[in-house]
Amino acid sequence: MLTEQERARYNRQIMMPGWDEAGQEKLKNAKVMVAGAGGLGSPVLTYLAVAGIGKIRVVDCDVIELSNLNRQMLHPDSNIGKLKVESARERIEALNPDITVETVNTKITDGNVLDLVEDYLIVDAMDNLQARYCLNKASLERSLPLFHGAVYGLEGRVTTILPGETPCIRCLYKDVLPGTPPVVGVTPGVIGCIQATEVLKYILGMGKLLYNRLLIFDGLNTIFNKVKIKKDPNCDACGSSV
Amino acid sequence: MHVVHPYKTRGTRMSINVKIPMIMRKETDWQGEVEMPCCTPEESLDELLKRFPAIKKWIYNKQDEMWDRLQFYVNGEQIHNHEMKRPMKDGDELFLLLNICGG
Repeated sequence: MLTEQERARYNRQIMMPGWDEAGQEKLKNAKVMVAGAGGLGSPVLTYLAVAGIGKIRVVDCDVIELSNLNRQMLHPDSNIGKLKVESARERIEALNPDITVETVNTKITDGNVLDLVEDYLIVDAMDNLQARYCLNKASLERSLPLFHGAVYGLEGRVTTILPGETPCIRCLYKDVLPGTPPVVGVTPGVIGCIQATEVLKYILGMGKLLYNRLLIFDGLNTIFNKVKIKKDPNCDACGSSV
Repeated sequence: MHVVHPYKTRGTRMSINVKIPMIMRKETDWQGEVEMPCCTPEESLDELLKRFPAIKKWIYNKQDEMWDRLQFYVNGEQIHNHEMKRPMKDGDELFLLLNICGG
């Protein structure tokens, strides 16, 4: 049941055809874990928080550095040196005190990922393949959707993974470009917003999700391309031999 | 002497469109799309390397094996390495994609 304050706060989205109060209650009862409170995590957390996701768990292990601030707009300059998860909590609670924020300051590993995820929907806002593989493992083992995003410079990618139905992260990524990638803040802004949109649609059961499709954002030419991706039958994580 | 172009079929020039990832475009004079008179993804890749030799580092490692981080899509559908000799039609699109991981 929504409170009067919640009705007022979410009024403009409740007006959406097919959303209604029932949809808003679904969001209120939802639990989402956002892995990474950096470039992608900033827009994802911001938009999930203001949309009214009832419980958001933020996982990150870094402190804020000056060089993060061209893109990680969740964190103000005054929070340099603070834990990202704490800075994220401050910002999210300031945006929307009606939701619950849980923070875990830890590195995601194969050993802890199942405990971190529990039964939360998983947003992959990470910046390295190892952590993405860990999230993939939890997604497959718990049959939870995984909302994936990645960026490089002015280029970004998004897909939504549904275990058993779509390719998994290991089907998609055997290897990635090494090194520290260049990133322009607007790119994770665009990609993170699309990830958050996918999460909301999934919870609400609205629209068409990016299942079996990879959306590619070419910010240099302002083009979105979409390609069909396939499960790898020999995938170590989700293939027929597993 | 009249020489028939190897990719000409019934008087029509076979042409496919190769889309280059943004990351590689420094090596293609910033061209994002290149027309190639080729019939398979493999031929297109060879032609791309002929025209833009500097692109090789993005495609092959030092052992001349193709990077696992490179993916290919024909007309928006993913193809795997064993499908690189698959015939393509005039007007088809080959999309190269490099796996990225920033967040």
